[in-house]
Amino acid sequence: MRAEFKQRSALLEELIMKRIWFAVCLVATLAFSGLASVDADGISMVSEAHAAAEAQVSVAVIKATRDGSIDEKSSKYESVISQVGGYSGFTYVTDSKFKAALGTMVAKEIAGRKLQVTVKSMTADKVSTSVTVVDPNGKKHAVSSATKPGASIVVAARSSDGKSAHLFIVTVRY
Amino acid sequence: MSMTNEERDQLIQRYYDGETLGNENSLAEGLLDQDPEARALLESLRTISGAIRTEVAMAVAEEDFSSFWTDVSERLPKGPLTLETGQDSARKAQAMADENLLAGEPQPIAAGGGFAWLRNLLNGPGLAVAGVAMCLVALFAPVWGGSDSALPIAGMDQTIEVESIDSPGAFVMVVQESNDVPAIVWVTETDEG
Repeated sequence: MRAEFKQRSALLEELIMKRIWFAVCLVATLAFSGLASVDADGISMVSEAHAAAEAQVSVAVIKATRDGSIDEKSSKYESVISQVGGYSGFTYVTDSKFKAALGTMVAKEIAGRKLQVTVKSMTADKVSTSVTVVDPNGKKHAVSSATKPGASIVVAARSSDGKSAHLFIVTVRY
Repeated sequence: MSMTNEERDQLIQRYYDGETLGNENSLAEGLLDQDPEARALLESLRTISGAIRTEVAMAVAEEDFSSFWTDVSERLPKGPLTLETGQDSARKAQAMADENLLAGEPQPIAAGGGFAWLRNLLNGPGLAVAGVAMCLVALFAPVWGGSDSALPIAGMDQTIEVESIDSPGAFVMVVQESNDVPAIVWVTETDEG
């Protein structure tokens, strides 16, 4: 009888452990996805505004040249390249996606330049962003702007001789 | 529906424990109507349970529970919750369960029944794997979405308020043909360091 009781006690302990682990995994999932926070005061669900304190930044880079044609990928950016006068060649260089926490600068090496993005503020209908392109000579070209979430801003870094330009198309969503 | 003896015994045990799901309840009752061995098993479970109830008070009085919660808390991860501590502790918990619980008779996971997969999932390593998978999905799902997400959205209001432009270059210009297309901020790169 005693052995059976011990066995049942062990089973009870195991059952409790399983329930605890289920709760731990659930909380961890919520915490990692930004929907819950764990601190000294316990576990709390995060409000929608706070949960979105991390934005998704997408960057595409297109190189514009005086000569040449528009490659297939660049042609998708018709709304951008149609506004770029004086250049006929457009070559898709690369793209990048990353997360940016509110107020934290994220730097990426892209197309031989350093791109720095800081999401300064976010509301339901407005996102304020600072985009800085550091050219190959180390000089910073910074643009601060506010748009609707999901809108794009393009920083066109023209070479000093004007023969080419790199178009950094930056889109911030959350 | 054919059922092995082992599956039948497990079903009756779950029926006795009140853990049957869906149509398992009616299935168990049907078995009890038709199968004398199933009835005998249920009767023996009731007998054992009755015996336990009569002696459990005495056993509880003799048992030392002082370390019960200590044992549980020792198995929980120490320090802040991270993916690594979670995985590590899940492995430890499973190792302890494999060694220890089973000084007594192992309780095999029911092979039959439509919810057997759920029981397997919520058991030991399955739970840990599910937890890790959920974490990975939560972490990476936003990044996996769409290959062209830098594309300006057609027809979207692309109105921009330029707050400041700071460029050492000689030429700065903002171009935006309409509010439906993205603004282009032109800057000129320097030609020397």
